[in-house]
Amino acid sequence: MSSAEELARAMAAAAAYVEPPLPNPLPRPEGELEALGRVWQTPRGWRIFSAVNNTTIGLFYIGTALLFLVLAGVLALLMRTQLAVPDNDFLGNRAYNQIFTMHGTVMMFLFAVPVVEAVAVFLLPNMLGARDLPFPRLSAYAYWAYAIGGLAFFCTLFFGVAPDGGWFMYPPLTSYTYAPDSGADWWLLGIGFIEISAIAGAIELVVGILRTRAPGMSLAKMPVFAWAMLVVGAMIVFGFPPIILGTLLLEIEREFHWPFFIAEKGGDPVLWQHLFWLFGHPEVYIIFLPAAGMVSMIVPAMARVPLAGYRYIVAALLAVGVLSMGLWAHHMYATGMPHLSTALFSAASMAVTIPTGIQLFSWIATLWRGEVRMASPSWFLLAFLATFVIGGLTGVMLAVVPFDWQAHDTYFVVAHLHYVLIGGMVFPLFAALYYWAPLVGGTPLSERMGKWACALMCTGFHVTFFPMHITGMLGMPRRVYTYSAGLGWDGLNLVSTLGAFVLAAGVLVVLVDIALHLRVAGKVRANVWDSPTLEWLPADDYGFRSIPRVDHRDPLWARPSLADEVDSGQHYLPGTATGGRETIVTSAVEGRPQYVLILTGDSWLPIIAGAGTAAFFLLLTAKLHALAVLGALVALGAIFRWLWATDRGATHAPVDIGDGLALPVYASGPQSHSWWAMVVLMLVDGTVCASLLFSYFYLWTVTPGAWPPAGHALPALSSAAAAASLWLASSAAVSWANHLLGRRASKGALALAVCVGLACAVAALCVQWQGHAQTGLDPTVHAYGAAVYATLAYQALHVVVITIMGAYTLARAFCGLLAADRRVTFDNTRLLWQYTIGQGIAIIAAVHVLPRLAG
Amino acid sequence: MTDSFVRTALALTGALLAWAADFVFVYAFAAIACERGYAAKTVAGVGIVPLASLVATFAAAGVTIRLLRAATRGHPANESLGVFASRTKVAVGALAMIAIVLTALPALLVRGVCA
Repeated sequence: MSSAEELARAMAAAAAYVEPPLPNPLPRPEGELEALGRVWQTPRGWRIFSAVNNTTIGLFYIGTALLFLVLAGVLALLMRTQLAVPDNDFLGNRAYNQIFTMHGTVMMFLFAVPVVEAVAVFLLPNMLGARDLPFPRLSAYAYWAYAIGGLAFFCTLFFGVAPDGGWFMYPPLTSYTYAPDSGADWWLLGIGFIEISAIAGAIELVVGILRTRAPGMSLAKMPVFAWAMLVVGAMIVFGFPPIILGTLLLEIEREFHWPFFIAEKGGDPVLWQHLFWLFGHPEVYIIFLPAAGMVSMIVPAMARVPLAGYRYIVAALLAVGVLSMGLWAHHMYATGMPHLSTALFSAASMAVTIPTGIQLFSWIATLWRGEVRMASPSWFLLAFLATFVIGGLTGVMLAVVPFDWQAHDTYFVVAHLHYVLIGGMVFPLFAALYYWAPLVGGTPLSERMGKWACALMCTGFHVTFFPMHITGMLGMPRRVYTYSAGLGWDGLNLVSTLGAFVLAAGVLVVLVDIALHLRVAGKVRANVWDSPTLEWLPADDYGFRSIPRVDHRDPLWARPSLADEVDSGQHYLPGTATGGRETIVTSAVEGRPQYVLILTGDSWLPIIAGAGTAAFFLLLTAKLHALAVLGALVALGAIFRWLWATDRGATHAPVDIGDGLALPVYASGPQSHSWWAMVVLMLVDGTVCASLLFSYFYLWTVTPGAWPPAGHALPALSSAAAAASLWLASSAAVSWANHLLGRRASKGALALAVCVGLACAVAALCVQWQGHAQTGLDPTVHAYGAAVYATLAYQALHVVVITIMGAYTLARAFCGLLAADRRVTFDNTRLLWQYTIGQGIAIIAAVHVLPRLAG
Repeated sequence: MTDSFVRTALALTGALLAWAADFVFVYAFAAIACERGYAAKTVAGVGIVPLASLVATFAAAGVTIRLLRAATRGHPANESLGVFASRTKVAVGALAMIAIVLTALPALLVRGVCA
């Protein structure tokens, strides 16, 4: 049955059906709304920087991401000016290298990923019917780390120390031999805070989407944008760890000369390419899928009919999410991989086009059967459809190995990637800006300026990038700062440069439109497009007056009275039940109410923690080690200070949210949202470890002869057995502590169990380390030693972390903040602790068992 | 995490995970065989890399067919959610099956595995 028929059936059923009463009756108690407004009020003046509410942080986030778009765009114009004519000396080669490196880096890391997370932070709570995401301070922290660190990173350009090795930073070009200055370090460590920020955002989004949907909003009724962000959150969880590991390994190689990527010492620069593209290709879909999600929301509203093929779009999103993880090596056809491997990645590249095509046909079908309102968002949508299809087709061409060998590293690839990224992400983003702008201030942006902007951007884009296909086919390589006249590239480059300025003019029109017409208002009631989804309900700082009961995928179309009902407080939780900020936590699949989550309020701590985090990475790069440590301490101090005030226990009796439902205000164990966040974090952690073990195995495969290589020895098996036994003893100790907490045993007994567990973990690590050290293993001699010590260092980092968490947990216990029924802190510590044990055993198996099996 | 979520997530993505396991196995097997010099070995006249690839393909296809059959059976308790889940699973299964077939083709068609 089609979505339109479903909607018609739902409306007919609604008309014939005697409805159950709404969750809460009228009239509402006096002062209820005022109290809600007070609790959620956004701070005024300079205190607004302490705000953590998703609407404020979301707007900061979007604004900052757009700033980076403009900055990276200016860099692009500088490049195009340089390339406008042959033998130009507008920019020197060094400046050009820095500019193209920063252009790619800023676009990908500081604009594209942050902006999709930013839009999600702003939109998702209202779209899901939540008052806010479950960890508002985490969102704020992610934003401030990104904003402060990103701006400081960009400023390296002005001091001549910006990286110049390309946005992919391939060694050996970026190793200490060929790039001895600090440019590569700025990239490697500067990207660190962005990785942390992206992962913090992903945890927030995944848990928010799964656990804070409005009652009744099962997975089957979830908006497509939420599905897209859920898939993207999972992709960040599994896609970012390889680059986190890669940046760590390359920085360690540069700083301490551990030769992971140096061929003459057993390393392999191609390993970097694997780690980079294991992240880099999913990254393309991390950028595209949210845009596809936005398109799936905008198209039905503009066509005024339900989305065609909702289930197939969800299936396509899931398929793209998984299949795109298997495409990384199609960027590496020219590295000399075995034929079968290149063919495998070529096949996977073909496979991923099918679910992408399903989405395209669903959008076209929706537009086909609707009455399309040709407003600015529709213009951008059409620009997206045409441009993205062209980019997709050249992608299929590049997925064919022999063609890729010809076009590799030419301007054909530059054309393709811009068709995909600008066509597939920037045009939908601008459609989204024009579509959702009324949510900010109640009125849309200028239609006239929007259409002018779209026309200029679309024209400028194609004039810029279409000729690059030809320049590439004529052999012009990427990343050259100039070229000689008479190669057949002169006219094409001049046209591309003119187009780039037209494209920039289009972006400028949007910025002027925003400056002239976008105003932030408090209460917004502006469903200007007659859209069907919840974010268009009347909203204020607190989100909606009451949290809606959802019984349809297009709730505002299926139930036209919903806006008035929600705004008059007739749905769930129409006020503040505990006197604080709250939202309802629901079950992940069916959206059944489970408990009321008391949210953290505005605070300066996230901005302090974000600044400390950015300072740590940036000062470390500047080799100001003492100050960097100070930055880390400031960040950790702020984070622990904010955590201390959480895990409050059941401070309030169960509260009545309406419909006769009395929900608790606290949950622990697998029902708790905090448990879910910890599980997601461990998935990230586990993927970093898996990437590390992949690197270890990879180095084994490329090392001729025995493993370990000649001149190296394995420690005795007895040391491995001793270490494994100690890890298991540590696991038993923390399980014992868990048992003691459940039985309400004394604090002393709990402390004893935790301390015994920590002692066993430290001892296990020391035994492992000592075993290798006794064989004379040196991490600077051969990649084998570097890889082994890298696994041990990673495990040591975990021991440090569980020691800090153990101490923190005990501190709470001795302050009376931990009990059998107030135990989220302990549960989180235990989860990471047991994970650490599992990781330790896995590392022992890899380092001790594999070499003995493989000989 | 509640059982129902893990079950639902695995049921929705199971066929894709079968493809992922197939893909990783074939890639890793071929890479190791080429790098360590085992690729020329044969079993009953068939190269071990194509053979391993076909075995993995049949295993992944078997899992996917089983999931597809499960998706088309039974009457879910929650009608709306159940219909959504079963149809989405069928669509995911079909997409995964196409990917599994495409992944099998190189092993059958490519000559000179390690060239």
